[in-house]
Amino acid sequence: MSLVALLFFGLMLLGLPIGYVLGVAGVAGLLQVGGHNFLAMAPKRFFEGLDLFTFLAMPFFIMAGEIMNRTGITTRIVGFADALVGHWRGGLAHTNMVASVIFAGMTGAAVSDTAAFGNTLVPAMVRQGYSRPFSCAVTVAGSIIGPTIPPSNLMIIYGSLMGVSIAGMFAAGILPGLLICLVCMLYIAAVGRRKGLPVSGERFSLRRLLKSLRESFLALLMPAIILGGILLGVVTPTEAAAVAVFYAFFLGVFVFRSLSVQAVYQTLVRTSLITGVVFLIIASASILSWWMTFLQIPQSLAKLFLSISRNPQVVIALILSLLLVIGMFMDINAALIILAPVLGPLTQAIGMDPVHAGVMIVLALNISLMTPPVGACLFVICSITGERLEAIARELWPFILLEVGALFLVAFWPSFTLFMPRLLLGR
Amino acid sequence: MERLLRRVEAFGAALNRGIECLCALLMAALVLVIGFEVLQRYLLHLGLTWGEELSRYLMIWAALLAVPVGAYRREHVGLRFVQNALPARAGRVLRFALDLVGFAFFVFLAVYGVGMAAAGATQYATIFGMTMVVPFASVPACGALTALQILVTLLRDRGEDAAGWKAA
Repeated sequence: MSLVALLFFGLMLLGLPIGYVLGVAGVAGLLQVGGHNFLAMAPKRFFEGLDLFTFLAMPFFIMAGEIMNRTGITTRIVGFADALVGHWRGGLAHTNMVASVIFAGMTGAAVSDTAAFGNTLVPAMVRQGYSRPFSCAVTVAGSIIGPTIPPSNLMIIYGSLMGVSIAGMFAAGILPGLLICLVCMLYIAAVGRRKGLPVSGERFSLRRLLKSLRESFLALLMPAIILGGILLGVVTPTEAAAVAVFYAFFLGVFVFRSLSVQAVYQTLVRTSLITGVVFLIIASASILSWWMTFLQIPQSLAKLFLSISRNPQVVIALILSLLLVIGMFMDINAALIILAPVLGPLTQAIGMDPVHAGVMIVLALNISLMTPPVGACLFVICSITGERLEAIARELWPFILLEVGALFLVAFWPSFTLFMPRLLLGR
Repeated sequence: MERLLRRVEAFGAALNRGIECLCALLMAALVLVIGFEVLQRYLLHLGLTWGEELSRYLMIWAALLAVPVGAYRREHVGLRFVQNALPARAGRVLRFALDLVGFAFFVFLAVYGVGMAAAGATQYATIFGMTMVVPFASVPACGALTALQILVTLLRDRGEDAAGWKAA
């Protein structure tokens, strides 16, 4: 056990890509418990780790997002959000949040949100007189909404691995996502005057709102199609993802006419590349997780947690702290695959609803995407805008604290999270 | 020596273009298969069931073939802070050594993957009736091609920090 743990943490800290680290540690684990005879299991686990039909939703949602980004749909969504809330003090910061909520209905990964708005909204905010670090912080804080409101890659992974209803988790993610948006907007409103956030000077006009609605209507239909289809039980998440691809493609080629053959090719390559990076992590992690299961590590860890306390609130607080800390250092897909078998049974032992537990775990990992030192969204925003991580971190910590507060509210108030699945799916 | 290195780089770039093209084709096929699947389930009611299995294997092939592309473009990222904290020379040695570790892992995957794929000759996909060699072969293909591309990048970058390296 110690050798595998040493390899895992050592290689990860030295900077070997996490997808390789998991594989090397996993193979070392196989060698340790079964010698050379067990090595043949590695490629088999590697393959079987990916052989799940529900995973198909991931490349499709990635592809739909990629197409949307290339067709200029993002700009239209921002225009609509701006017509809605742009006239407030700190208007563009609010716009950023509202646009994140709409964008969240089409994308499954936080970093695609960061990339889309880091490229468009941050420069616009800076032009209007916001400080660059604050603009970056707002964008990163809003990115967390993307994978919380469905679709969400992490929910697809968790649901597939743990046999929890993906549609149920999708429905349950809606209110927590809106809550995150709300607390961030309240903070922006609260500090607006003190920080001297700019006012655009434009007054709210119904005509402008309707105009932007008309321009973005077809784009706004996308989340409605995805969510409506899944939540009304018409299509499975995978099918909804495929429909989203066709719809985005249709918009890009026939309506907006902004999608060239070259762009389609680039989209296909980019999609398989992003999928490949995530799937390597999943495949390698399933070698390591076999070793963990063989040694009953999940059970011992769960026992350890329960030996500290049997009080559900305390256990939940421990779980959330563990996730937030681990997510600071580790790729969240890898963290989810390794920890899900530990945390799933543990949350059941303290009587949590599986859908509620899944959403809580996913939300905690999402928030860790924006915590220094290695939050993925932070890196994306730094590399896009060229802003220093330390400067962004100074503006970001109030958002982090507020979102962690929202996370605890979600964790301790199951009826809030489960309201939507009960309403829509009659769970 | 310089000429040899240039040859290696040109080889890596050509190989990468080929793999990317294959990935795009597989992805396009995947979209079409699932699109047809949705169509036949809700509109045509043909009751066909092979779509699910075929699309799973297409997905695995497309994703695993993208692993060497990621290695070539250095899109599989790891933590940077130890590397950044080291003096330049030590950082180079470390990155070079890590490339070697990655190379070893994918060689292992290729070698043992061939064994698995060969054993797949006696297994058949449940619905599709196809020999399992075809889907299983994605693992050794991924291992061999990724090992090859890690070798190319190792010679190309020689320990230079090339995270986020993009094909020109």
